[in-house]
Amino acid sequence: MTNVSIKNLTKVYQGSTVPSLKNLSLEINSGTLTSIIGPSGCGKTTTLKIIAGLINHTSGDVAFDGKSILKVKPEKRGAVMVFQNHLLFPYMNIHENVGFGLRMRNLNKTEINKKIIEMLELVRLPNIENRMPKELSGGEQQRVALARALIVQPKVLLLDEPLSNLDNHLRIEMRNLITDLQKKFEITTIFVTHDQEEAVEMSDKIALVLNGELEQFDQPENFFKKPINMKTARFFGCKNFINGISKNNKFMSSIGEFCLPKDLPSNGGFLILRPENIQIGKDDKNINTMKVKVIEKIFLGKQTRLKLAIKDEIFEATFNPNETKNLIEGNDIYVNIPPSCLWTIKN
Amino acid sequence: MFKQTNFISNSFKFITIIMLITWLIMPLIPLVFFSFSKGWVFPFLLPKYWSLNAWNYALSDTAGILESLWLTIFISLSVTILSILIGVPAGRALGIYKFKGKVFVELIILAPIIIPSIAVVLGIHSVFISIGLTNTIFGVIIVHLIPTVPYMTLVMSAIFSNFDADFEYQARSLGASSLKAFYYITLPAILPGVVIGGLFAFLVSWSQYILTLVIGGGKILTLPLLLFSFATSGRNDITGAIGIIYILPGIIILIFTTKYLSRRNVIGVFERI
Repeated sequence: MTNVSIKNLTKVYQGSTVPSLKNLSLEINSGTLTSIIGPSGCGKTTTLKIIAGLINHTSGDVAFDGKSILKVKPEKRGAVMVFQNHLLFPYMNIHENVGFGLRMRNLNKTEINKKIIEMLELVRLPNIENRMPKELSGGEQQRVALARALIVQPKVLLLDEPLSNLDNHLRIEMRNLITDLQKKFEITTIFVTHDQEEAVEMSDKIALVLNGELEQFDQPENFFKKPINMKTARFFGCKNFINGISKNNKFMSSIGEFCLPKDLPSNGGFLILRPENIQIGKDDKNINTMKVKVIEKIFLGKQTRLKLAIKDEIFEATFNPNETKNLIEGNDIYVNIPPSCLWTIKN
Repeated sequence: MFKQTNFISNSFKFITIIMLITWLIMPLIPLVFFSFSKGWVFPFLLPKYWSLNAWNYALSDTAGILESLWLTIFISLSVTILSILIGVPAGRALGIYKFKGKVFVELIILAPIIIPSIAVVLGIHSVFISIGLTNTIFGVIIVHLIPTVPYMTLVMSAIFSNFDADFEYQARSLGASSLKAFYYITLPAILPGVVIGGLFAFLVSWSQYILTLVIGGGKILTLPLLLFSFATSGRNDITGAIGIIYILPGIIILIFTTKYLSRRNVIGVFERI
């Protein structure tokens, strides 16, 4: 149970003029799973390594429960990192690998053995103590790496893209395993990933970092409903931005007028239309209805993606394939957008 | 068809073994004959009279050959240990870190191997005289480091460039102090390199003649110096006996370290993934 607070953390690597991390501030609550998400090279891993004490920071502070830890030696911080490559020690068997952290803490052997067996059962890999890391599959290796980190009961668990080297179905299984264990032990966890879906599914809160700067730190659903700016909206898969001015709960643009939800502040900027919030209507009687032309229809399996055109504006919408069964390219259809799904951002 | 390729590869094996024997083992046979004979002259294929005189002399206290053996072992072991202590951190820096002027540093490290030691040693000699290091064992050990440290550093830099430093980070993050992380994680990974580099260092120091002669001033009598003086004085039997004593440590060390000399070991178990 540890609060982590990161204040104005900045890192400039030696020989580089551009900071890899600029004034990052995050308050991470005890026992929650927070994802840091962003494209590769955005400074996510740098943040983890600074927290773990593996690299030095340039300025700013990191505190566990209010106490700065940047001067504490890495092995005394209680922050354990799990790397992207499992990094199991190759000449040690699974027993020795999982027990490594406890051995470094000089626990007695019977206690270590008992904990190793318990832990391997928790990651659903019983009876593999005597095998070598090489003999395990990628998913098993990563689970052993997780067991090796959890066994020392870290204050803070740092996960650096632990799932990115795994197959798709394994990845989904591992997500559940990680969140289950994280909830069971109530470990404050910071999870770094570039996979938006992974972050949304697993996290209590997400921090989006682009080019070393924090864009938004919020609950997962707010990245879809209330993105703070265009970059955030784009990162989370929104492609439709309509330029215009909002006034008295109305949004005026070149393609027409939209009713907005009541609590939105009035200002100019962009209307955000998420592809999945556009609905097909029968006529123009609903609120926020438009007549559009279908330009392109692409079947994606679980959904169908349509490219729709109003005047010169083209936007994307996704539907359940059943709804679009009878549509062909060139059709004119009515679409409507419920006002509650709309959101505006500033210029 | 299959039989034929088999025949070719077999004959290649056969030729290789013959060549190895002629080059590596044949030259040693006369040494044995010399050391156990009393006058072995042309055109006889085998010595006329056998004798243990040379060995009796070589192993006696008065000859000083055993004393010289212990001295040579002491010097070479010291040189090996010092080379490891210098070469491992230096190789680590070169293998893992990126820094400005790295290529230049690598070149400088190679220099003592490229430049003949006779060219360097005369300059060093005058410096050593002024600080009183000539004619001392310590001075000889230091001057032996000139050719051994580059080998050690180069071997270790190759080993470390294949070592993923994240393994050390992982150990630190799991609660190992930097010393424990080195002992439990880094050392097992680099051990084959340390053994091979150490072997190089030992043998280079073991066979050093010029450097020992100049800096030791003829007072520090290592085996090669003794061997040379007996060889030039025409005592073939004693030369043969010293020669055999001289090559034994090399062979013993080689046998003990063969298990580290496989290619897989040299590349290292901690390859970057």
